[in-house]
Amino acid sequence: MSTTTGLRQDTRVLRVLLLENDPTAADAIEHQLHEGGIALEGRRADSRESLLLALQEFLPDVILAAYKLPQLTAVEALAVLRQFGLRIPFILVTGDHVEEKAIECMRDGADDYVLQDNMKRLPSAVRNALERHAALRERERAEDARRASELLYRLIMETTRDLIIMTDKNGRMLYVSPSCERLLGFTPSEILRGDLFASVHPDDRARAVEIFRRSAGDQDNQTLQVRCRNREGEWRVFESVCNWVVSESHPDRAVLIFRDMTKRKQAEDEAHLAYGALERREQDLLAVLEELNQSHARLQTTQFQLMQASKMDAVGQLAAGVAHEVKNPLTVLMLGVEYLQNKLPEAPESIIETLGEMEDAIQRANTVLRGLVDFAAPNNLALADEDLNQIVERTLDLMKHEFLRAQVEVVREFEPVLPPLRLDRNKIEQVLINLFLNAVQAMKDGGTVTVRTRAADGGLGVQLEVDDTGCGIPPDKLDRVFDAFFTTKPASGGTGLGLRVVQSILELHDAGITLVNRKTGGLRATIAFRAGVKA
Amino acid sequence: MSLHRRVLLIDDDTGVTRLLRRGLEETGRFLVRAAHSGQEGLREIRVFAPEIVILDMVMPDMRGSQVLASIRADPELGATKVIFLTAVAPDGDSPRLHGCECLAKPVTAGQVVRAIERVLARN
Repeated sequence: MSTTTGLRQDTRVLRVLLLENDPTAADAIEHQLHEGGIALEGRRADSRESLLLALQEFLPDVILAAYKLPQLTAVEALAVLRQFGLRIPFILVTGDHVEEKAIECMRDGADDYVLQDNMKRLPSAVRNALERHAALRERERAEDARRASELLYRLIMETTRDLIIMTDKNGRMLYVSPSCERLLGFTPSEILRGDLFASVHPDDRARAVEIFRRSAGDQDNQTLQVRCRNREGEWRVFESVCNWVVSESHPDRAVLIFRDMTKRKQAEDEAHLAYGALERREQDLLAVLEELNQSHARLQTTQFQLMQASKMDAVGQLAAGVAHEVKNPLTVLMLGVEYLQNKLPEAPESIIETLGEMEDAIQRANTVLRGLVDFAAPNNLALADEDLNQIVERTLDLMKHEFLRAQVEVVREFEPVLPPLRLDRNKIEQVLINLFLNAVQAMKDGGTVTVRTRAADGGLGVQLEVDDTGCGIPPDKLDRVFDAFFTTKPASGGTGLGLRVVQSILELHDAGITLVNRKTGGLRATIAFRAGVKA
Repeated sequence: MSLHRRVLLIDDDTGVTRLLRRGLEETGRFLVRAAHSGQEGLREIRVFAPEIVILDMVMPDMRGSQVLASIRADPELGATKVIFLTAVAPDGDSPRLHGCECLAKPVTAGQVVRAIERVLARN
């Protein structure tokens, strides 16, 4: 049985090219192959031309050749194959007498020869040849792949600008990439002769060794910046990363990659410097801006004061005119009342009383006029650096008789040293007088006035408090007390101008006043003088 | 020399001059005349030769300060005492204007008398 070759039966149809001019001989060969279990498609060629044609068209899997045909010898056919670089299993089928020639042909590239009187061997010879060729092609493919891989690897290693070093677990260098020559000026073999950390900057060495040791077997690689000395003795800055090889065949190996960061480091340093300069510039600009803001605030204050002053100026002119026109008639009335009082010392009580009320009315009218003029007057401030404590003290002194008469005790709680304020001393005295008079009037049966000063507004401003123990202000009237001509005490001659004047003057000083009823009774007036107000 | 002090009132408000004149004369110590404008006042000073002038500040034809300047500029009148009586007096307990005592309207005749006494006492 031809299937006793031990090889599996070929299922695919083998394309067999027969170099034979005798059809009978060809049929015999095909028959033999069929007998051997090889399905085939045969083609015959007997000249160089028909061989070439068959090679192009038929693409044979195997060639079975007679040693010598009239127009084509096996040697010539092998030459054609070599010429075109074709590797096709080539088996000589020949007679006894040419066995030696057949052996020669094998040196020329034939795979085997089968003697005509032992044709039973043909199928196995064909199979063997096919297998050998297949194995050969497999080896060639593997070799090609290996070469391609090697080429790729070499290209990577020679192209990379990073320095790549492989070491064993002790740091002994096993491989250094050629890039070291470009990066450091040393050849790989020069590097390999030395110590891994020899060219690392002394200050970076300990840390580099530590990280190398600690990273052993660790999958997380750590980046480290190190300086390395090149052949010229210059320090180059590298960013290095250590990767431990995960491979059963090469355990305990590390791949270190060094990237030259010198230029980037320089650029970063320059950028850092430039950024520092920018930051300083920004700070300068912010300082300028702050100054501008302050100037602007001062200008706004000044503008506000000018506006207030010009409003007040107009009102002041009106008030002065009114005062002049009204004061002459008041003078006439005053002189008239005085005259009648002198003339009628013995007059009935009702006349004396009437004249007294007239006199009071004249005084009240005069007070209103004075208030009106005062209200409009503070249009020009004579500002100087003043100690508020002194002004308060002087005002208290001016009013000591008032306090005494009203049985009002004065308590001073002064902060000993206050920052100087830009104030119009006389106007602030007027403010204090109005406040103290209000306090006295609120304490019909006597009481206590407490005057408190303290530094505020970051130690540059001053807060002044005037507390009394009087009747306070009805809550529903608190927000009206600064209105002109509003008074809580019409019966006792309140003009409704005192607090309005206070507020006008304080506004001109860019200061604010608030009034609150104290929980323990009485009123607290709080004045906040702001820092560094310049007019 | 008369016992009566010679006082000239210069004020455009006739109500003021009439009543103040009456008030001063009632005391029996003053000889009083009145003028109602600056010009009239200056003429009257030369005719009447007052020891003291009660002078308004705001008048239609002249300001009191101009009248004062004319008085001071005249050697014959230079010694005449002046007290301002005005609706626009400066603040203060005893304000002064152009070196002269200053009374704020409204006043009583009594206040004017005391001012005259003070000014004359300074001689």
